[in-house]
Amino acid sequence: MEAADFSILGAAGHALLVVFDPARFIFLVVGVLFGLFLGVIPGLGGILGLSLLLPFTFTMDPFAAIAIMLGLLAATSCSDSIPSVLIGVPGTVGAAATILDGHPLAKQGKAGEALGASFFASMSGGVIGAICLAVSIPIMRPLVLAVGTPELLAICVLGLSLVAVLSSGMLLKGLAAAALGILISTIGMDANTGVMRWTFGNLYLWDGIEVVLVALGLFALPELADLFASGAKQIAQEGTKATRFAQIEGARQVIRNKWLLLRSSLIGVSLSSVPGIGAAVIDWIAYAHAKRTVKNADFGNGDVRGIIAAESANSAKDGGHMVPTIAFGVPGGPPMALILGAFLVHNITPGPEMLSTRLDITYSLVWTIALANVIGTALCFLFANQFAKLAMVRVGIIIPLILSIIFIGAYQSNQEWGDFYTLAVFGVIGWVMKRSGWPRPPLILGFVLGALIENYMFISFERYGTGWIFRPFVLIVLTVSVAGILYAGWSAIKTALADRGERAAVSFSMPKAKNLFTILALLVFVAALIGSTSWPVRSQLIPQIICWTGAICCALQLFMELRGGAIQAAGHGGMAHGGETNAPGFYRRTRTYAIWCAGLLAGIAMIGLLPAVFAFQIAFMRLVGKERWSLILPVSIGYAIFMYVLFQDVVHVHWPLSVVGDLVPWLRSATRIL
Amino acid sequence: MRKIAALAAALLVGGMATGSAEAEDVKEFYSSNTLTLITAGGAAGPYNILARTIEPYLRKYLPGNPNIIVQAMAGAGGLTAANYLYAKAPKDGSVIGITLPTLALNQVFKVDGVAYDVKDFNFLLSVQQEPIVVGVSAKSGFNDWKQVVDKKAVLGSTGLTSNTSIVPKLMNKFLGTQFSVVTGYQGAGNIELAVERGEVDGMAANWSGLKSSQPQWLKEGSFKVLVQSGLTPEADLPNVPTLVDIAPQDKRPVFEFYGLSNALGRVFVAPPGVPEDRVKALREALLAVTKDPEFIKLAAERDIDPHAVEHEDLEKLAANTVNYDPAVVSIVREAIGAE
Repeated sequence: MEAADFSILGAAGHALLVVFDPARFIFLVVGVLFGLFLGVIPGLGGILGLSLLLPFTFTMDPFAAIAIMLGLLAATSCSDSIPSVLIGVPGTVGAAATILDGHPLAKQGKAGEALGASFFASMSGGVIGAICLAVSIPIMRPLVLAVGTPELLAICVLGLSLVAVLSSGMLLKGLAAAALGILISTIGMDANTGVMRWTFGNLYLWDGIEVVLVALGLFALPELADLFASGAKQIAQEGTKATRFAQIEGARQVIRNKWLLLRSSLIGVSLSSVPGIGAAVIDWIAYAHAKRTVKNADFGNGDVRGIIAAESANSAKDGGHMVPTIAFGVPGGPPMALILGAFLVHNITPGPEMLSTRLDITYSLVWTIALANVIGTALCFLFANQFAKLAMVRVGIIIPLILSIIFIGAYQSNQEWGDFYTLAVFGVIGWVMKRSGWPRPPLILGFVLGALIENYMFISFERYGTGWIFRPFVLIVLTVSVAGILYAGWSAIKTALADRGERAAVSFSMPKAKNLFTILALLVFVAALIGSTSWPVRSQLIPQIICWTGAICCALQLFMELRGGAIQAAGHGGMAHGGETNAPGFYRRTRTYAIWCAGLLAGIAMIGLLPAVFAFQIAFMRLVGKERWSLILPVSIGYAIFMYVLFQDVVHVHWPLSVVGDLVPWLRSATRIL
Repeated sequence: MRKIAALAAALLVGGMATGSAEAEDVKEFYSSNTLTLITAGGAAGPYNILARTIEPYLRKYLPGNPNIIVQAMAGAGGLTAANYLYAKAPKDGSVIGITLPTLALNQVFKVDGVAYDVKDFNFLLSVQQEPIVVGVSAKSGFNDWKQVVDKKAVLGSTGLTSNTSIVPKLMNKFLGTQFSVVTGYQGAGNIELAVERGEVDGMAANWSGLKSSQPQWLKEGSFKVLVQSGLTPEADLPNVPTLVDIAPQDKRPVFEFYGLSNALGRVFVAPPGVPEDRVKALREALLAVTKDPEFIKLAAERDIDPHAVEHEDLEKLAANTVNYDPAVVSIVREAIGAE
């Protein structure tokens, strides 16, 4: 026993020396810098960075390859909170929950505190994740083997039940939104039956919808729309700074909430070790946990504890993702498929070897994650003040810059035209949901977990009949999940009954604009219900259940809304907040924003993505921002050159084919971007 | 500007010269053009890694030594890449691709979304024919496929349309086995995990993939291969029967068709209409790569089987698949679709 411990410590020490070897440490730092950069830019993230790096790592030694790849991955979760806090647009899919409390703080001029808290929570979460990974090495394989498909199913159901918490007191809307998310997750080929669900003969939809597009559409586009429509000159008031002092105050808040930090980090690690549960939901689940457990909270209006929960869990996930990856070669999350690719190239075989003869590799993973988090956070602290200036850039400049990168980033999902359509569709859905007070997080939760639940459920029934329900772990977790939903339901009914007592007469009103989304969702559910009846039972079962649930929730919701009841409509918390509709000309400016977006899309179709972005920026800055040419030209030309170098020369993007390129083939061959 | 002029000249020459162009033109074309290598599947997928491994050697052997860009084009089970190469990619030899073994099978099954005719592609070369093996864990107690005729064995699978499900379904239908196929696992890794955990008895798997991901199973003998799907036995599975071997005479065409359809391997193609001399140069260069000792060594480290099948054989394989007895095709299709 002692010998084994000694060898483990020996391997850990050896790996530390290996990672600190200057020739490799430099790669770690380069990876971190690149990761920070990708994290800050909405739409770009770890997956793009890793696919970019992978070929370069072929010729490196394996430790250097791990250092640069994992360094990049870990660093994205440090910096992705910066745009979430400052602009209200998530840097990566894992930083969406940070917006809820981070962005209100920035608007109140407390960006420094929000950033400080998010950086420190992120670092602590990352380090806790690495420690958990290190500690679990001896028991990793038995641990993963002990968790069967029914247990995985139960964990996903528990995650989904948190929709009740994330609905901000609007349970019916929350459930319907989750149902909508699950329904969307069934788009594509059902591998189990070969049936195409809702693909309408379109190849693009075969593989389903990318979560990045859902997140960018739901959260980023509506936020920019409202920023534009509010008529504000800039995001935060003049003088917003992220001073050292404010950041340290944020970090102290994290220490004050150390138990929340620890709990959220552990949630992050354990959930991320379930294959399929990734960044897109982990932050929300931790956030929901905080909402349920923290007392005297003011979530959604700038409560720093919301940031702590979301950020620590989001960073801790990297350690958790590694568990099934190294123990069994099963990617713990989407980026891990690329890490496995690097393993393959370097002749590293996941499995028992990693936990015995190749412990040096495994420990270098642990150290890399921990160090990347520390270095990444330190750099974020250093440069936060510079970033904070983003919130004071004039709206006429910041909107075209961010909007362009969102479109370019979204296109990296599949490098197909469908990416733009999908982004646009979810942008509209997100905006209407935000306007009519619908909570958006349940949709993301349903989208990610719904697909897993469907698969795990069928495997469980096929393999174990109904016996799986009575496995102890499954029984406990399912009971907790159901209790959570029932409790939320009971609270909602109690509120409704109390409310009815106060109302003298019941009067119905005609549907109005604010009922729009409820009606639309109801129609979608009914249409999907009818549309799915021709499929084999296995393909239609989940969609049918979901459509019934969604339709009933929507119908009840509509009934209450039309009855003039304030019961469910009275949303609170930032998750569904309508915002500054009172600003004069709000809807007129929203329409203008939509036209600009449509114009950008048309431009992409006509002259190609990069030229369209270039033209869009110039036009927007000039016509909307009324900026000087001396500012417009350097900014837009610099941006275009940078994007060209990054995406044409480094990423080798397969650009969307444009009309001009079709008409003038030699121009396409010569420029390769049309 | 010089580049554009050279390009225009090359295009002109390529368009006019039919089979009589000089080797000099090829060299000039590839020295002034980048070669894009499209791979079906994602950025970390085996096709992409194959492309990245081949890329430096292809550059070395192709006249003009062009820059090579590897672009992953995932989507629709390889159809996105195949359709792109067929219709949209430039037909001057500046774009080639690696497509999936199902290239011909998808066409003969008339899968929705197939927008190509496999016969028109310029086949260059293929590596890594991917036979499917059906195997079980040692602790499951099965030693021979015949035991599965009498007793049910549970296999994990990703889905009905994948090989992990097709092979056992064909065996059930035509050999009387009782494989119970549990579908829904996300990727081969998750099925392997289910085998290890005892949730399922075994799996139908891509042999090269399995060797790469679970070497210790084969070393320790904890996984027993019952049958293989290739038309000839694999070099490292000499004692494992092929499906054609064990099938009764009248059922053999079914398994021959299946073996045939999978034999294309990871196939390099150029779009239809690429000038003949460039196609020839690409074929020769790729073949030279697969014989380069340094490449062979690197391929072994990355679990790539460098054994090449040349274009004449690929054309025959594709044609045989597409022209196979429609009666057999529909039987197989039906067997896969529903039991």
